[in-house]
Amino acid sequence: MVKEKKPVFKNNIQKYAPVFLMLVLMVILTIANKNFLSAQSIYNLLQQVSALGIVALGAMIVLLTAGIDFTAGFGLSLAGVTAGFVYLESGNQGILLIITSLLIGALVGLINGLIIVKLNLNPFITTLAMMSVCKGVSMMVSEGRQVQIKSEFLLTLGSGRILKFIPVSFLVFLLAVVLMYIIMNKTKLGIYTYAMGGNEDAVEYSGINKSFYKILVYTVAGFLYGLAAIITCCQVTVITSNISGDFLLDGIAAAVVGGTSLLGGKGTVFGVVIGAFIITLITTMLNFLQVPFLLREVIKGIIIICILIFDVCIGKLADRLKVAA
Amino acid sequence: MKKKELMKKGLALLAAFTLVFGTLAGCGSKDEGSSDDSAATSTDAETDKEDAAPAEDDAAGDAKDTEASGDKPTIGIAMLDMTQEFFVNMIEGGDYAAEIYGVNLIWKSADSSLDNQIAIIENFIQQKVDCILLDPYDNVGLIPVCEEAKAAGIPVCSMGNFIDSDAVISNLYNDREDTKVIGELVGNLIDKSGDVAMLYGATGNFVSDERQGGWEEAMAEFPDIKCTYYEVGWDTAATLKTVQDILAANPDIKAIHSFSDGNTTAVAQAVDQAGLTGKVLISSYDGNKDASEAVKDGKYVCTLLTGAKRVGYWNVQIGSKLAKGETVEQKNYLESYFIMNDDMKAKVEELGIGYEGMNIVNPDKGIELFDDLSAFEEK
Repeated sequence: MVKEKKPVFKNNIQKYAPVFLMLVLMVILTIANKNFLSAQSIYNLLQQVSALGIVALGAMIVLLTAGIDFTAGFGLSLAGVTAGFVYLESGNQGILLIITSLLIGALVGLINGLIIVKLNLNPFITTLAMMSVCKGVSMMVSEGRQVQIKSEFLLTLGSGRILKFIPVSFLVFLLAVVLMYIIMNKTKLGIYTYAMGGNEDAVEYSGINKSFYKILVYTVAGFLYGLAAIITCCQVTVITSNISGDFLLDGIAAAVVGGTSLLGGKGTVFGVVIGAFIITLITTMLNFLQVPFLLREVIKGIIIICILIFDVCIGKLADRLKVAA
Repeated sequence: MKKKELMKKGLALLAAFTLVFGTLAGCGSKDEGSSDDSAATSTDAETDKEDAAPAEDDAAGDAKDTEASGDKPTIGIAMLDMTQEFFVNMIEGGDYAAEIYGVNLIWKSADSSLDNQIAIIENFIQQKVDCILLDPYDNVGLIPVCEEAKAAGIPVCSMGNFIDSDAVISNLYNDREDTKVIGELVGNLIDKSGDVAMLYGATGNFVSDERQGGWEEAMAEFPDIKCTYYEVGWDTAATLKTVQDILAANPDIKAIHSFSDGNTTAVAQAVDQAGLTGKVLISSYDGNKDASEAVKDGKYVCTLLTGAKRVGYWNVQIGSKLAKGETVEQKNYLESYFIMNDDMKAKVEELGIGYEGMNIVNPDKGIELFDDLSAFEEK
């Protein structure tokens, strides 16, 4: 019996399109500046991807349910400063900082989930309002102050490296990737998350406890934001409320660029990883090329739109190839 | 029945949230003269004599009130923002001055919005405060409302920004000239040639623009120095990423100037990660204690102390005079201090850079001056 070779390219063209884009960006950067391939540059890239990638994973799991979560940025900030408070009060206990940040992140996510599910409120408005709450509480807790991190363990977490160019924080990111892969592909949470994005009513009619899993989705997302807060604070070596930055928009952009659909039901952990690299590479490229700041956001937005258009075109091409086959 | 249940649950949840967040706000509410509030205080062991009360929500932004007494003049303060460490310290200094000079303060944050700031000032006019202090978001867009306040008999004083109107008294910091001095020093330290980078806050922010302007004036004196400018806001994480990319793209860069100490921590971190500590000169601005320590340790070339508490104290001091009907100069300048080690000071004197009346102090003195409001008061 002749075993038929599956056309890898045709079947996976859309899946690997982001990888192609990522490679294109890397080539452009290498041509623009040969220093891009230096060990330090690769270290920087991997370090910068770490926190953003974790946030993007959180964005992904929510987007898969056709939801949205605007608490990524200030939720991260709140987790960080609350953890900082505990860190200070406990006499610089790094482990307590980590536990607190994760718990606060998860708590914010849990509150999001409860409001959305139990009160049947729209995720858009709920998480938008919670974003404001997180911002306010973050300011109240931190009072605008910075706390210097002195724990060697945390400093290593933030800027330690292995083999000269692999940041310890990137290893944490990889751990999060593995865990999310297992969750999304091997657990009920993952299966039902995709199902909710496809047809939420069908999930309910199937007798699945949709409410529970939906709340869990937002809780996991919040937990990931708490993890990203730890990474970010350790990288900058200070705990401050001024770390929310572009995490919200970049996190969602990374998930979407990586193939996660805003309509739900579609997206992969692998895609999010690539999306995080793409978004980071775009910013790096703008810095390397010394693009004037006033133009940066415009160019960044245009590049992302082009990537999304490219993705749509590739999707149509993939459909045509499948039909032709 | 299901609807009623849901309504009940919803109301219960809403009540719970209101309770929780009201309690949180209450826990942080003003308590003048209270013991240390150690919530997220800096590890440089700054002891708070006053409890800086956190913001309370209102229609136009966050607000913070000192305890009111009907007999005291009231100053309304429209802040640009109240989340940065600088502003938090500024409020502390201002509150202390309010006690000394016997005035009530109403602090409100415009959350970096011109519309909010206009609304806040209009509210102050309605409240008939005795003086308005403002940290302007826009030094042109606020002119009409400032003139409206003046017409209502309320003196208006701008903090750290020149508003071109007779209705407004301007309290200014010597950012442009002071940054120029730092630029001239750095330019000479790198033998007047090479690549440097300057990190600024945001185009259109007066303080950031002044500091960038001063740096540009300095760099113009060194034709062989190529300077690239990067906007980083007040975001530490963004600063880290930007500087990492700068160093990766140009490992031969000789110096980086950061417009604010809050961002410079990230600059130092990136330089350290790249293994370029000692090879890339770092200069900073604001005179925070951490920065003074970094100068002392040789990590930074220098920083410039305006001092957030001093800024707050000084502005409220002037505002108090206005609130009591006294007259002040149309433009007032806050005294600043360059913080550098003795070798740098010697270098500055050798080069003959700077201006008459310039103050240079060592880091220990800088740390002392950061908190020393009584010394400031004597001036």
